[in-house]
Amino acid sequence: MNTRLDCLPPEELARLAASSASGGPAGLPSALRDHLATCAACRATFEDACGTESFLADFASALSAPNATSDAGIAPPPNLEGYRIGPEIRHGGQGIVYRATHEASGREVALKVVRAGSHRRRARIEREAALAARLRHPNIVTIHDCGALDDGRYAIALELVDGQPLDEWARETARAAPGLEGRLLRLRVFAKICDAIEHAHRHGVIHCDLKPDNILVDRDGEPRVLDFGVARASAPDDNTRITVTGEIACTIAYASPEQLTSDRASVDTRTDVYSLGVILYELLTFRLPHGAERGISELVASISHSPPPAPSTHASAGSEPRIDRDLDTIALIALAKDPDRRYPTAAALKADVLHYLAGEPIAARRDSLGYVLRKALHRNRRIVSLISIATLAALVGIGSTIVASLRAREAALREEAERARMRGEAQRGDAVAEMLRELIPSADGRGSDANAHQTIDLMSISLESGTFSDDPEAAAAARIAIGDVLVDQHIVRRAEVEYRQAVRLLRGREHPNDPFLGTAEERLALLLLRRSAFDEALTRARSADDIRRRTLGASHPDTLHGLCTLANVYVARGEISEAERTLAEIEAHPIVLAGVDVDPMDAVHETRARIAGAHGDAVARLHHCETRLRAAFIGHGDAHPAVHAAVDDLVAALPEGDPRATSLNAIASLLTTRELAEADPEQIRLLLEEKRRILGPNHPDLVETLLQLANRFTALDRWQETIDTCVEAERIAIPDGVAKTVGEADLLEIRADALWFVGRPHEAAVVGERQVAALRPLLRGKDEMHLAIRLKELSFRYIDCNNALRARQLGDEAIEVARGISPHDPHLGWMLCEIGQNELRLNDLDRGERLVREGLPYLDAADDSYAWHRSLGHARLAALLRRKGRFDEASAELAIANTVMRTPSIPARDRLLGQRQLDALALELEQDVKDRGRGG
Amino acid sequence: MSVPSRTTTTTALLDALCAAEDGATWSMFVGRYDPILRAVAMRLGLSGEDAADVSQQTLLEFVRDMRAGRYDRSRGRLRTWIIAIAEHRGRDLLRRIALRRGEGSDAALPFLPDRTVLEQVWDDEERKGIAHEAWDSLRAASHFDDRSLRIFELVALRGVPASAAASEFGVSEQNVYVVKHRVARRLRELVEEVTRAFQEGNAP
Repeated sequence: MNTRLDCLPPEELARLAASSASGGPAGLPSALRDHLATCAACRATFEDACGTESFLADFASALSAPNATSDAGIAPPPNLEGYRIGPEIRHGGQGIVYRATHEASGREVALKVVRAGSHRRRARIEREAALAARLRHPNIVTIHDCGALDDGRYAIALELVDGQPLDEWARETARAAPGLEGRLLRLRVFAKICDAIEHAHRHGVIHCDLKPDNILVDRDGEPRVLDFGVARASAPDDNTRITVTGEIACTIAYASPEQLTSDRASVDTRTDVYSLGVILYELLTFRLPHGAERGISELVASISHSPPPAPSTHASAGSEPRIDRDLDTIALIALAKDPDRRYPTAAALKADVLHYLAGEPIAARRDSLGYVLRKALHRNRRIVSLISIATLAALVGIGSTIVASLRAREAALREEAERARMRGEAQRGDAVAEMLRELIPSADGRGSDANAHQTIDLMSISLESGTFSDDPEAAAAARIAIGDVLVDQHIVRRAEVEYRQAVRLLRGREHPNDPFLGTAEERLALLLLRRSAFDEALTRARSADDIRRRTLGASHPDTLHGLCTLANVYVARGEISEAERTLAEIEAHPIVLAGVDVDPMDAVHETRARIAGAHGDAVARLHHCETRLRAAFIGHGDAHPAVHAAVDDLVAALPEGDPRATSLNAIASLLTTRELAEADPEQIRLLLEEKRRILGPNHPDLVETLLQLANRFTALDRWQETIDTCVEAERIAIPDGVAKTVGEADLLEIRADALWFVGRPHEAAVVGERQVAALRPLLRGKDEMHLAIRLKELSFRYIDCNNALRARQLGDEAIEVARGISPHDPHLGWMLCEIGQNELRLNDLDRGERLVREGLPYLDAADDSYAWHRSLGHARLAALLRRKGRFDEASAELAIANTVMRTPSIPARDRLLGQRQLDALALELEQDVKDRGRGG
Repeated sequence: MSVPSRTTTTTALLDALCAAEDGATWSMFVGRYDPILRAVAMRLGLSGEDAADVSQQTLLEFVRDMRAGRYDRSRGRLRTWIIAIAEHRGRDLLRRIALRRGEGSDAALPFLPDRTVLEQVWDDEERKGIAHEAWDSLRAASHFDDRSLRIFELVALRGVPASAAASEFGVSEQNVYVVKHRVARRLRELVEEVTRAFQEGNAP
């Protein structure tokens, strides 16, 4: 039975509105509903209160919505006496961190605030303060202060670290320093983290929640461990010890098996060693050892019972080399399920990482003789294997069983030497010597001198003990290689011994007179010249000349080179007329006159400069040095050692105080690095000016340097300078504006890109048109796929110019060209998908869908090397279908794309990029489906 | 123009920015639109620092356009204009990043969100910005005592039951509702005020 109600006070109506916020009047008692139906005043008050509730719900959701620019939610900042609170900087499971300033000292701090409502949380952070305040270590974040807030929250003032979480940093490092360098950098940082944890352990603190989020890497690349939020004192009688029974507070993926059981008493310092193992695994592979895409129960089961796959079973990140067995071992031992089988301490883990970084045997495998041998082999890898594994085995005292197991490898390397031998009798010894020389670590600047000496010593010992005793040419080649490295290091006497041995070995053969003996004799002659033993130098140089004339002929470039050495010996002996006669012989030679081989020319001017120097004729010397540099510029690329040597000699020939010395010295230093691709553009500019001076402003050999400069500007985002440089290069290379070679057309491509980047898409399109106009006749019937790709790129440019017509014309032409190459080629399939996707921006979605659907079968039929393209092809179709509102079909295509993207053969870096695209599309699609659900 | 405040309209800010260099106006303008533009840039797939760069470039370019007379408020919404700049800048940066990584310059572009999605991001971020400004204004003004504000925050925004708040603060439950109602009314006014400030220059 209904009872009539009197009017209610507004606050009561407000209470009712709040309690029925979700249900509206329908959820109210019937008596009240009746009253509201008849009482306009109460109804108005109630409706107003309901409106307020609805407003407050919206407002609270806007205020606390996750900030799109971080993962953090927004909450009202705390009010802590003595601190001026700044913006929120981090937001995690255990609290919010604000930037704050301590007003008295002006010190900037990170103020961590535990949200209200949990006594356990508050107890935890109080404990954190007490524990972490005891720790002082460069890699542990310091605690300055702590205190309760008046709203019941608790705040802790930590040292402010301007850094990024370890995993983010690691990914950036992998991008910034691809290859081995990035991995080694991550390992060095990891060793520091181990050191910090070891320090905490020694002070009775276990972290228990180690994960990348809790490790920041600051701007100096120093890791800083923070958030001892669930740490507990490891000393049993410590009064800060609190057991959080049954609570798995740590992030499960980083938790040790013992943390996941109820037996928390077994948690000790080795728990952190396990988490460090997970972090190491992630730093190596960018994956978690037990995966991340599992349900919690599955993950817990896997951590507790399944061994993780070795890191090396994952594809390496980017261009990093495959993860080797030592790193596998270190990570897997740290991740052992039984704490007794792990590294006993973080220090032990750190020590093995450092052993690895130093190229030393790691402790975890010290017991294996085979391992020690492998490690020694690795350090001196190829050269030692090539010379004699047996010798090395004898040196390090390894038994014959292990040696036998390595024979197969030795045989393979010997085959490699044999192949070099087969390349031709004349070059055989030179080829072997060259190969060996390349193998010595410092020969090309890769290794330290200590490494080179160690390798040379091993090679010498190996040779003395009979390696290659049945093969005097290989032995001589090794001697020459050793001698060359020693000469580079100015160890002349020992080099002389090696060269003499080489000559002796070669002369001791049944048929001693071959060009390789000429090489050995000439090497010895040059060395003797260097140490002023002119008489013997002359004998050796003549002998080399004699052998070469007989075996190679007077016209062979090696014979002409030998004459240069001979001429130099004459100069050194003061026999200038003999030197002049020898040089004249070289200069008169047809191949030198025809400019076929500029090396002798280079050598002639070098010698003539020396003669002029001997005569005290500074002007002639300078002239010959410049002529030599000109010959070197014309004959070689900028980075060629001949250019470097010519620049050095020119600097030496300049008169005292000549202003060119400064810029030539800068050029010499640029050329020393031989890495123009990394050079300072200002240095390349100096080189360019010098070339202009010597070769003139329109010489075609300037183009190479201009291109280098343009590429450097491009790499540095200096687009306007890129454009200016390209314009000059085009003026020289393409004076009539019509590119006639692919290289000239490429020049236009660089400028087109730069124009696009400075926001001049129309000019970029014009230059692009010139490029493809040049490429069409050049590439038809040859490298047509290159042409098709350029047409496709140009069609993209026209989209930016809002010229849909031209964009489509070029797209069609690209497809037509690709079709002509091979009608069923996956390249054609990809081209169709790419041109089809253009319609996402040009808006003929039917055409886009048709093209992509035509292309997909070619990609579907291709092997797994096209898996990445196949996945993205399906994603492009999904994107088009989504735009057409066919969400179900789009989802199905996206599902295919996701499955294909997991194909193991896709390199990790490509997968990362591809997956990012798929994820972005998935988000869009999800939003669309939601909107449709709302009827939007 | 006097020192700009939270409720200074966007129209007034734009007029002031057009007129002269003014640090306070610029700060207010950036404070209002930088978080929104960062969110838009992140929606384009850029990471935090890159998004910040894009936001900064976009605002500068917008002000340049405006001073050069290229932005005509009568012809289109501010949101549309700025998003177009941000989208261009974002695409540009994505291409550079892709080129540096050795990927094709257009590798990341086909999956960029539609303009409507970016506008939705803008609206969401604007809503958040308005809520924060209104909330900050409410707390900065001496309209209510600290206790009232704390009661309101707990009950209206954090979902604490009125009875719990009443016993915590030693007041009656009715009193809690009265406080909540009064503060909510003022907050609504502030939200409307700030919304007007945000959107006046944003209207067609």
